[in-house]
Amino acid sequence: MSSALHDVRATTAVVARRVPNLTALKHLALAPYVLLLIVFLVVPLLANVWTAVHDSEGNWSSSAFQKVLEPQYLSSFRDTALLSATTAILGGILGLVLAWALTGDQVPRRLRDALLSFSGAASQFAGVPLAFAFIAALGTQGLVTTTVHDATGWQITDTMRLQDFWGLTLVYLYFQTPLMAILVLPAIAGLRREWLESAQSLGAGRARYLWDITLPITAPAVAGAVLLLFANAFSAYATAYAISGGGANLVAVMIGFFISGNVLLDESFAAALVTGMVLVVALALLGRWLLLRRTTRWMR
Amino acid sequence: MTSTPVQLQEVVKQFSGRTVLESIDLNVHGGELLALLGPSGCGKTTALRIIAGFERADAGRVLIGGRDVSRVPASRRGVGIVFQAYSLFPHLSAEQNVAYGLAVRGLPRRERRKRAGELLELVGLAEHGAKFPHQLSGGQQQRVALARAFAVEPSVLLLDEPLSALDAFVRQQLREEIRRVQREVGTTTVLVTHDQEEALSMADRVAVMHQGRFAQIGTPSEIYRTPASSFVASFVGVVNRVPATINSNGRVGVLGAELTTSSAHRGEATALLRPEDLQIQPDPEGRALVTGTTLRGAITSIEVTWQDTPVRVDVPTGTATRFSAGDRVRITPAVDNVLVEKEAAA
Amino acid sequence: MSRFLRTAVLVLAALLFAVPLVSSGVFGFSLPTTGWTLDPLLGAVQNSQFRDQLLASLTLALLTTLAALALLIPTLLHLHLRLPQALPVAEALSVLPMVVPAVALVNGANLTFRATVPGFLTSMYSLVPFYVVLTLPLVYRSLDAGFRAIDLRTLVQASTSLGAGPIRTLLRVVLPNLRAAMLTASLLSVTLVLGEYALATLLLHNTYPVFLAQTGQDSPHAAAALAVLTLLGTWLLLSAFSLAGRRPRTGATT
Repeated sequence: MSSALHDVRATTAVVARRVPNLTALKHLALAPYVLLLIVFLVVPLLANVWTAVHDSEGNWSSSAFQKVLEPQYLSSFRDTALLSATTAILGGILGLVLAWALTGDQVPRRLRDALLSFSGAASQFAGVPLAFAFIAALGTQGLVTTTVHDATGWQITDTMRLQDFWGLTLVYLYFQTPLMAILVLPAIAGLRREWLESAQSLGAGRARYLWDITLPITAPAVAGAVLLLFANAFSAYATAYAISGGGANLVAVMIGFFISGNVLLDESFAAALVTGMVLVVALALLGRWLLLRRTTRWMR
Repeated sequence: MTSTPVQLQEVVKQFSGRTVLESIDLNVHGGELLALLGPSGCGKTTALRIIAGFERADAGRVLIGGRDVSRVPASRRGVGIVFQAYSLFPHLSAEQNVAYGLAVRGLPRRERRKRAGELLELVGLAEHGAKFPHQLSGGQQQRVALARAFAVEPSVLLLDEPLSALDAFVRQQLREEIRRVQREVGTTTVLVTHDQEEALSMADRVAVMHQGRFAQIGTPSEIYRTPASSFVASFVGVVNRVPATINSNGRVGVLGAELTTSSAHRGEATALLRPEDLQIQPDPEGRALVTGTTLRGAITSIEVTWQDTPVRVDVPTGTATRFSAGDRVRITPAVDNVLVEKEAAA
Repeated sequence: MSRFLRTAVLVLAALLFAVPLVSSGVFGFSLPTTGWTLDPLLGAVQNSQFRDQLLASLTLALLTTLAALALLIPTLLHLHLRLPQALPVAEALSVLPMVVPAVALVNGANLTFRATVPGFLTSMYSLVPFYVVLTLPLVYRSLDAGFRAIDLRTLVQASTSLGAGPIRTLLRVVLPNLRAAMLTASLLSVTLVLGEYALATLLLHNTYPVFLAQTGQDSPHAAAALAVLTLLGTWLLLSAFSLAGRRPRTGATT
């Protein structure tokens, strides 16, 4: 016992003596982690940016970016932003409602637990399988489509095709809504009963409480989550590609075309598209980061 | 005569089949501080929440200022409340918190600020109005909560374990502070607490609750000196449980002495004696043996055994040096009337 | 009132979420002429590419998970014990990959490695480091949460004071306490890699999602059958989380 204690003290003393010389070494231990990010994330990103602002001869040039601003390419940025904003806002609203329902402690426990675990999974469902599940439901020969057609004579796909704007919106909502719910759940669960009751005892009704207390307290988390949803939709590739077979006028799908060589390859132009895309996503995430820094101040 | 500020009439409350309040009646007098004291789960918080309007009674009536408010929502009852902790709005400064009730009432900004400033001064936080809750200590947060509750000039102030989350020193300080402010403003106040010391030192009257009923309602000294039941005696303060026999004349034989009791019980019983109601003298022939001493500050507890029964005797610390473990002593009751329990002490 | 509304919302959500799953289940396991059948699924599964590409995805998932754990556990251990002041920086770095969408990363990878190490991207295993990067935001966070949940310093000091060396402390004290977090991180990593499509298809590697996408063009019924199985499998894998969180605690008491 006493010898063990002595050992600890001895070790501590040795470590303490060595510390000053070790500071540089201590940081060196992070090298693999940092190196991975540099080689497989930062360098590729910089290569993109470099290529985007140079022509094929290696001279500085802004022509690639000017081409991005041409109407036909700019329209895909506009469409992607529109789809991302729509699914972020609608998914945001629906996700909030879902999160609100999930925080009730008197709702049937099994139902709540099942939906909670499903939401966690569904928030990661974006991809090829989800696209096929929707095609099986709402495609031309989909189950819902045929059932509705047999019953009412109305062919859903005449009004809404999955590869169109509202069709894609619907598919995206399938993962955006649960993602929103998962993201805002902590903020909603963090609303204390004492706040509601204090406000009530001070004379505030339900609406007043929602407006004065709930809204300002949860706003940063909610807005931050919506921004993440926007970035999530803007980055999405597999779902849109599988649904539309590459026909959707979205930035990610277009970049995919350039990469896979289906279109005459212009390296600078593809890199400029990528740079633009990263810029949009980065702005959304930066906004989210700034908002969340505010909340963590009081949400401890 | 003005109407009673708060009245509960035959209030019953059940939670999923379990009865929490069994038809309780309570009158809170104007300007007094009444403590609802009891162990956790006794129903005291539920009673408070029914007064506040956060819970609805299953039966019975709640009257505030003589008006039946049983169906009035919490926001229109004019009741102020301070919770255990974390009740301040985290996104508002201390001053904005205090002014919130006034804003809801539509007071102009200038007046709100003035009133909030006055109230913060009342609770000794005039300098901290611009700070946010997370920048304030636990004790300061509770002061702001108190000021916020007072701001709307409630007809009743409800305090739900307001000091339980604080450390001992701050708790002591705030106890006096709350009492001072409450006296100064004169607001009728109901304090819920499980801490008997807090109830006895702060309240004008104490209502001891046990299993959804009132075990006794009275002044702190009535509760402490003449407990109505063995539950009250043992929950409020410390009691020794000593074997006793009651003869046919109603005289109680306990610790070799003979006392009176108001109990109608005869035969084997347990007498309840407070540690300070026992006298102790060194006596080599004594039938009690000192097993240890515990210094508690101004008093010292002498632990003795009397015929296998552990008994605690409290003496002023100055005189405690006369006793140490292994000493033979004589202990005698220093009271005439004693509370007894029917069951014999184990 | 609120209870009724909440329950109604949950029931409605459950029904809506079920529509695509049920549809692809029905569509995938029945044919207009023959009714309920396993034929489309069996047809796809018997395709030799199915086995190869599923195996490729499983291999990638395993390698990515092992690589992520091998990289992050020592890093986090070091950060929490010796360099806590660098934790915020490391955490900020871990979310950086969210800024770069998969298609953007592919283009950058092409530009970088085609020029410098021409053979690199032709190997399927070149996907592993990229997958570690792509899954980093979620994997880092779930591991870090595990480290924060235990009082690592006290654990290590207690173990050392009882006479255990650093290796013994790591293997017998630290890692067992991190089992739940490691399992959670692994499940996340495996799920994400098994579902990753953009990088694999654009870097021309044949993984399971690429097979699924191809199947969708040839036989929609088989694709629907595989889709519903994949989605349900993902749910199952990810809900093993909550089990993973609970089991080690009960295990530790026995």
